[in-house]
Order: sequence, then structure tokens, then C-alpha cells
Amino acid sequence: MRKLVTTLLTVTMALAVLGLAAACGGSPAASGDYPTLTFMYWGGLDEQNAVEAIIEDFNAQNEGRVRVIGEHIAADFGTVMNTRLAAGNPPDIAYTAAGTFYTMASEGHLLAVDHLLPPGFLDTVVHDAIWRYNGQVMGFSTAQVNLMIYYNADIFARHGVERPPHRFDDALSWDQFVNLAQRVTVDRNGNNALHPDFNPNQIDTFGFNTGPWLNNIALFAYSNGARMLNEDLTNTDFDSPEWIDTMYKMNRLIHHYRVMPTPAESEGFPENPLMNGAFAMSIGGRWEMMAFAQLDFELGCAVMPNLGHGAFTMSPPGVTSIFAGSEHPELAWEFWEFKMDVENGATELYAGGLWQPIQHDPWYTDPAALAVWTDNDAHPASFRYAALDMAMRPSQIVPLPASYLVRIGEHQQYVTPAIQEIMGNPMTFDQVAETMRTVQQQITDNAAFHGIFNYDNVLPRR
Amino acid sequence: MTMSRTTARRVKLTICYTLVAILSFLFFVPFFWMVRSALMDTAQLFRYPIQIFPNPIVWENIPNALQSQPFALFFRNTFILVIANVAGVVITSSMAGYAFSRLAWRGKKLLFYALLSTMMIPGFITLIPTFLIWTNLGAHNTWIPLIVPSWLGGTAFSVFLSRQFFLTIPRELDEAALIDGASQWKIFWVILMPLLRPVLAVLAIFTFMGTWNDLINPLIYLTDQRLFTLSLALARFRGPFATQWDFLMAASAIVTLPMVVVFFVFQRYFIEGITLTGIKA
Amino acid sequence: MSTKTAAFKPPSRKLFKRNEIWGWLFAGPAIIGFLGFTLGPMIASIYLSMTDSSLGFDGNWIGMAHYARIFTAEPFIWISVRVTLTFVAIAVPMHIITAFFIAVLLNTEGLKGLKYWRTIAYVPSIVPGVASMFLWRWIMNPRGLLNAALESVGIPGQNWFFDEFWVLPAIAFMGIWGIGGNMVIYLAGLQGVPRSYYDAIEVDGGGIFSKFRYCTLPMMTPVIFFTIIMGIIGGLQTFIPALLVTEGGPNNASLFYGWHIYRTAFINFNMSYAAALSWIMFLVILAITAIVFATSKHWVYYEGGESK
Repeated sequence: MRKLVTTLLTVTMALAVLGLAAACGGSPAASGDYPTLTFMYWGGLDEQNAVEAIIEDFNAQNEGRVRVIGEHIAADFGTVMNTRLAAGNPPDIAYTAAGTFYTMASEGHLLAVDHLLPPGFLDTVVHDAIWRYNGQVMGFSTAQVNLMIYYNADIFARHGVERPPHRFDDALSWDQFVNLAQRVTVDRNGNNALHPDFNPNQIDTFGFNTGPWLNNIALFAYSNGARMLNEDLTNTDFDSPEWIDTMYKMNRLIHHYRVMPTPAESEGFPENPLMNGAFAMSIGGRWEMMAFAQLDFELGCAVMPNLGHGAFTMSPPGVTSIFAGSEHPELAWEFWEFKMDVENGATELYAGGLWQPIQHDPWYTDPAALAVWTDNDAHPASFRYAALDMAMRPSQIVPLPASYLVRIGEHQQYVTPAIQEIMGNPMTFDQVAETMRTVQQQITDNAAFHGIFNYDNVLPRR
Repeated sequence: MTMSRTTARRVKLTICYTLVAILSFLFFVPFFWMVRSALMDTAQLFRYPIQIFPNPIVWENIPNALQSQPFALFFRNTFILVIANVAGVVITSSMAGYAFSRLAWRGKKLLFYALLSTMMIPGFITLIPTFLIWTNLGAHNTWIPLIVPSWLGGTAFSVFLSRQFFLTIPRELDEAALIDGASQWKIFWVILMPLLRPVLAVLAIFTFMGTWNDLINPLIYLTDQRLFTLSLALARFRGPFATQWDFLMAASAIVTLPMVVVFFVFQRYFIEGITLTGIKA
Repeated sequence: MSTKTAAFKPPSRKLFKRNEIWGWLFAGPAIIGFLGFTLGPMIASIYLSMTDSSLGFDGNWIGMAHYARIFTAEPFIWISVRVTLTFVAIAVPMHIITAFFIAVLLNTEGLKGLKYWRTIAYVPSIVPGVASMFLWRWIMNPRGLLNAALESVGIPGQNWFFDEFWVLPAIAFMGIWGIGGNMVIYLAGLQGVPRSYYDAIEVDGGGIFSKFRYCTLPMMTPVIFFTIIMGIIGGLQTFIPALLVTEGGPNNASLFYGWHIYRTAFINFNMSYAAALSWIMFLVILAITAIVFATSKHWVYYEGGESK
């Protein structure tokens, strides 16, 4: 008995030590001879596979010279990054969430790359995709994204409704938009929202879905004349009449016109809701196109409606940066260039719909180059206008809040519950106004403590 | 009207059986639902009205779910942590229990009560500084914060349990051995430990369970997916599994299964463990 | 020859010293653990809460500023306190009463197969929390099993986790599945109630309800007291449902105090403020526990006379 116990204990201790040894530290061993770069990134399965493919290509082309190791972070990227930096173990090159870019830049974690760029490079890049700190370029958007309306063309065809427009000049007015959504909102008996027998409690397909996301709602707000920040950029502007009107409109879409689901109702949606007819239109970004391409429905792209100030889009990308702690910035830039080149191993990613190049010249403007990545099933013809055309209109691009609201997490603590409340309950105009004023007051009172508007050297944009 | 005693008894038993049957059904249904959802594809899952039984049974869900994330790795990781923790707790808790029960040394009582009182402290108080300390020591994203505490006495619960149990063992054994010239260490290892098997088994089982189900510690310390435990991997499936309920249920079932098996094999130790705490103390 | 007392008087000073050393040696790991993982962090936590550091110990000393803010300007304090207390008020009685009744039921004499019934009731409590949380999220999905079952008997379904009113009851309800631990504790306690007491009541003409009210319940009050205390302490620290399902919503309806601490510390990285918040939580737990202890004199009955 004694011997058995002793043996068991020895074995377990040995295993424990082995386990510890195997696990200590997350960084893989350096190859010794040539430099190894770590690249941290996020993304769903498709992106992970595509990125790993790029890395493999790059490594194959640079055998013996440099090796890139990809670290895919499944979730909580910000947390991972923060704690890695706190532990003094930065990657060489990584995605940086827009919300953390300025924090990291101001703390000196990112490398200014102006000296690594080939001459004239910056002129070819979409203006919105260049991330500067203190006047120096410290990051580029991983890919351009342009939020727009995705719709299921089959549903529109089935109900004999015309498709939403994809050209900026044809953007729908608010009333036209509501009417369109109503005609594709259908209850279980087949009646659309304009029908007298429409049953608002038994809706089969909603016309539209945006979800309780501030970024999406901002598209409506900006078109309505609202702005995220007030005129002197010291505070948010949520109690402005334009914001209140926008939120009231959202509330009406859900509770009066019933063309949008409440957040609770959207919990019950099946996977691939756009394909499965949970809703006919939604606001989406680039990252979904790759998934859509593999599904069995006809995708259409449309511009956002025009509430008075033109249709808007937003580009909420991830940013890619090289880190100051990297020992091989030139090699990291090489890998970066490789990744950005549409024709160089990353074609599936761009053509497949996941990424949109950040260099408008030549990838948007030259027809031949454009065809390389858009002339396929993943890209409907309408995409060219709804996305690319919008990307070239800087005045119609909503600046990404996360890019200047440095403490976006704390900011969301106040804003998200208000959005949930407004979207979850039928409300009168005054109630919506009251809610928005309360939110604004809370932000005003607590901004100093959280440091939400401590811009450091960030240039907030309006 | 008075019923005869036996009729009254029969009525009572019938009521009881009915209640028990309803109860068991209600407690069992979620398990059934988990397995049933795990074996359906999403088309069946979202059918309205709800389809109760999977038809056809989609066995592929299980391998598909397990392969979409490196589950074999997560199993291995969790298993390693479990073994390391069980060994640590079993050894150091019993050592501490021995010291607190058998040996006389200054500060024993004070320290014991101090140790017990830690059970009342909210986890957050120690969690945050412990996290900072480990991070500053560079142990972030390793398994060190998940293993070392077990080797330093385990938990107050395990020390307490061990000490209570030691108190039930007669001292004559120690004394006889002392007279024979045995050292404390020998007394502990050779004579007493074998007698401790029941409580060691309990400690082992509860530590196994605690480690297997632990979420908060892996959550804050581990960021590299290669080190993830099963609980953490499941919690972080916000990517591909966000709305994929069939995969999510399949993965949940797989994470649950070993616990259920362990329970059935070691049933009596679960009950023993809780009763050994001596709640009335 | 008295061996009992003689054994504890060390025969020589040398042996006494050795005993001392052995005591410290054997308890050593536990002591180090206590110092390093409990006492040390507690002191560090107090210090931390009086600085303004975010992710380390490198902040400036600010004294009681964080605590002042908690009591005056913290916008989420009252919501989270209300949510947490409401939750404990719903969940703890719900769980204790259910567990107790199940234990009494499964302790009935004459029932066959008790071992199996008890197993079925206990197994859910060992399911990993994550799996169980996702499972219940799926069952209580607006288009899930629970609503389907309710609607089949004519009760309208609710949005459960995504409804401001129902989210806390839903989380509490979900917890009933996991009361196996308490049930086993009660079962153990029930075994300790002497049969003779029940017989005495029968002789006096009492039936089931009398037995329960005058024998079972009073004899079990110490055990119930213990589980109430543990239930309150645990319940006040709840945050995992917020982490995995609701994120404090909808509209802060499930903003547990523990969730606010967690997000302040590990999402917003304001560790010093989170430390201050957790000390307030500690004080509240102490206060509530003390109150429950104080009331225990009136309703807890100890078999062997008053216990200290």
C-alpha cells in the first residue's frame, strides 16, 4: 500500500512538473539562427485560416531568413494585449483594437513607421485608414471596412419589392426607408407590415436589424445631423435634439412600425439570420461578406438612408501596428506589406470578401485591379458603389468613436444600458429625451474620473 | 372519518412517489435537452413548433464541434492541471491538518482560526492583488497561478476537513510509534496517511471537480489559447460558436460528461465529504 | 499509568523544540499559502485601494478618494447594490426552501430507490458552471424549451434573461438546478434527528405536518442557519451570469455588484478602484452576516443547549 501511494505521488508530481514545464510562458522557442516575429491577431475561423495561409506563404518565401508565428486570440483581445504589455512581452506586429490604439501609442508601445514606408505610399491609401499619433504614422487599418446595408435579395424578389438603392445619390429618405422596410416585414400569415391584418406579435421576418450597437446607430444619427462630440470636443452630445430624434426614430422602428426586433427578440434568431429570413436588411461590415459568400442566397449591398445630411458609412476596422519593442521592425514591415498586397497570396482574403484593400490606388480606381478582387461571386455589383464609392467620400464617413474615445469601455457602461432601454421598451418622445439627457448627464459627471475625454495627443474628430 | 394507519401510509407514499417522480423529471430534463440539442443541426433546432427529439440524429455534431477548436488540447491541459492540483492539495492539506491537530506549537490556535476566517472573505479582495502580484512576477499566461496555491495548503476547507478527520484518529498510535523512536515525519507518512484514505479521497474528488469546473482563474490568467482549460475554452467561444447552439451544446455536453462519470464512480465520497465538515461545529 | 495526559507533556526540552519545529514544518506550506495568498493580498488590496493605479502598484497615493467617490458620485453603486440585494433576497430563500423540501422528501421512510433519486437531484450541481449557464441560456431563449412548455399550457412566454423584470428571477431559477450540495447537507442533518422524537409526536397524535413543524424544522435550524450564511455570502458575490450571459443588462437590470467589480478590474483595468469596491463589499457581507448571526438566537435551536 505504502509503495503504491509513493509511486502514485511520484508520478503525479512528475506529471505536474512536466505540465508546468510544458506550459510555462506562452512564447514558443526562438529558432536561434534567424529572427522570429510574432503576429497577434483575432478573427473567426475563416480569418484565422486565411491569415495562417498568408503566414505560411510568407514563411515559405523567406525560408531561413525570417519566420513569422501567428498567435490567434479567440476573444478578449484587448485584455490579452494589455496584460502582455504589462508583462513586458509585446508582439512584433499585431492587430490593435481601435479603442486601444491611442492608449498604446501614448504609452509608447507602438512604433512610428514613417521611415519604413516607400515614397508615395501614403498617397495611395484611403485617408481614413491612416492612423497617426503625434503626427507620426503608427498604424494602418488592417483592411478598409465600410458599413452599409446588406440585404437578402431573394426576400425582396419573393415579395415583389424593389431593392434598396446602392448609389449615394439615390439614397432613400427616412419615410421611403421605413416604407420599404415595412413592405418586407412579414408576419407568420404572410401579411406585411402595411397590411391591415398584420400581427405584430407573430413576425416571421423583420425588415431591418441594426442591433443595439452605437456604431450602427451613429450612421443614422450623423445622417440626421447629430454628432458624437459637441462643438468644442470636450464632451459627447447625446442630449442634442438630433440625437434624441434619432433614438426616437429607432424606438419607433421597433415598437411602432415593428420593422426591427427588440434586442430580446433578436436573441431568438437562428444562425445566419440574413440567409434564413430572420430579417431582410441589416447593417453589416466587411467581415461578414466572406461568410455570406459561402451561403446560399443572393446578397445585395445598399447605402444607408439619407436623413437629411446624406448617407453615411463608417469604417470600424482593426488597426495593425508594429510595436516599439520589436527587434526587427524592417522585417515586420516586410511582412505587413506582404499581407497588404492583394495579389500576393492574400487574394482569397480580398476576393473572398473578408478584407478590402486600404489602398484606393489602384485597387478601387483602376478597373483591371478592381476586377482582380471584386469580379467574383462574393462581390455583388452593388458593392462597388455602396462600399467603394462611399469610401472615397471622406465627409460621409463617421469617425470611429473608438478611435478617439480612449476609455471606450467605461463610456459604453453608460451608453449601452440606455440603448437597451430605448430599444427594449415602447417610449414616447419625451421619455426618450429624458433617457438621453440622463445618459449625457452621467457621462458629463463621470468623464473626469474615467478619463474618457483625456485625448492626450489624439485628435478627436467630429 | 379516520383512515386506517396503513391507508394513510399508502396515501402518503403515493403522494411522495408522485412528487419524487415530478422532481426527478424536472431535474433530468435539462440534461436531456443538452444532449438532444447537441445531436440536432440548426435547421431542426429552430423549427417551430419545437421538435423534441432529434430526427435524424446528427452524430457529426460531436466530432465537428470538438474539431472546430482544439479540444484534445484543452482536455489534456485540464487534466494536467487536475493532477497537479490534486497532488498538491492532498499532500499539503493533510500535512497542515496533521500539524493543527496532533502537534503542539506556538501560534497553532491563532493561525487555525485565521485560516478558517479566510472562508468568509469575498474572493475579489484577494483576487485583484493576487492577479497583480502574479503579473508582476511574470507568471501571467502560465499555469503557475493555477497550480501553486494548491501546493501551499490548498484551501481553508481542505485544511479544515483534514484536521477534523485527524482528530478522530486515536492518539495511541502516535504514542506507540513515538516510544518506538519514530520521527514525526515517519508517523505522518507511514502510520497515519493510510488511515486517511477516506478523507484523502474526498479531498481528491473535490479538488478534481474544483479544478475541472474552475472558470475565474483561467479566465484572468490565461490568454494563450494553447493553455486554455475546458471551462475557459467553452466560455470564450464567442467566435464561431456565438449563435451556433448545436456546437455549443455538443461542446458543453462533452465538458460535462467526465464530471458525471466521476460522480457515478465515486458517489459515496461526495456525500462523505460534505458530512465530514461537521456543520454543527 | 496515565498515558492520556503524559503524552502531551514533552518529556524533555529537546523533544519540545522538535515538536515545535515539526509543527511549523508540517503547517509550513499552508502558512505560506495563507500569508502569500490571503493576508498579503488583503494588505496589498487596502493599499491599492488608496492609490490611483490602474494595472500595477505604481499609482499615487490618494487616500480615501475612491471610497468617497463610491459613496457620493459612483453612478452604478445604488443600482448594483439594489440588484445584488434583490437577487439574494429572491435566490437564497428560493434555493434553501427548495433544497430543504427536496431533502425532506428524499428522506421519507418507505420510499424505494432513494439512492437513485438523490443521485438525480445531486448530479446537476457538479456540472461545470459554464456548460450549465449556456444550457440554461438556450433553454430560456425566447424561442426555447421553457417558453414552448409554458405556451403549451397557455402561459405566455417571457424574454427571461433579456427582460428587465425577469432577468434576476430567471438567474435565480436557473440556480435551483444546482442545489444538490445543500440538499446533501440537509440530508446528512436529517439523519441526525433521533427517531424517538418522531415517535413521541406520533404517540401524541400528531401527523406529518406536526412532525415537520415541531421536530424536523427546529432540529434542522443549525444546518439551515449554516446554509443561509453560506448562501448569502456566495449570493452577494454573484457575477458569472453577468459575465457569460447578460453583461449586466438589459439596461443594468442584472448589474451585480460583483460584475461591476469584475469589469472595473479586468475589462477597464482600474484595479485600485475595483479594490475599493471590493472592500465595501466585504463590509456589507460582514454586516449582513452579523445581522443574521444576531437574529439566530431567536430561531436557531441547539440540541445540546446554547452553543457559543
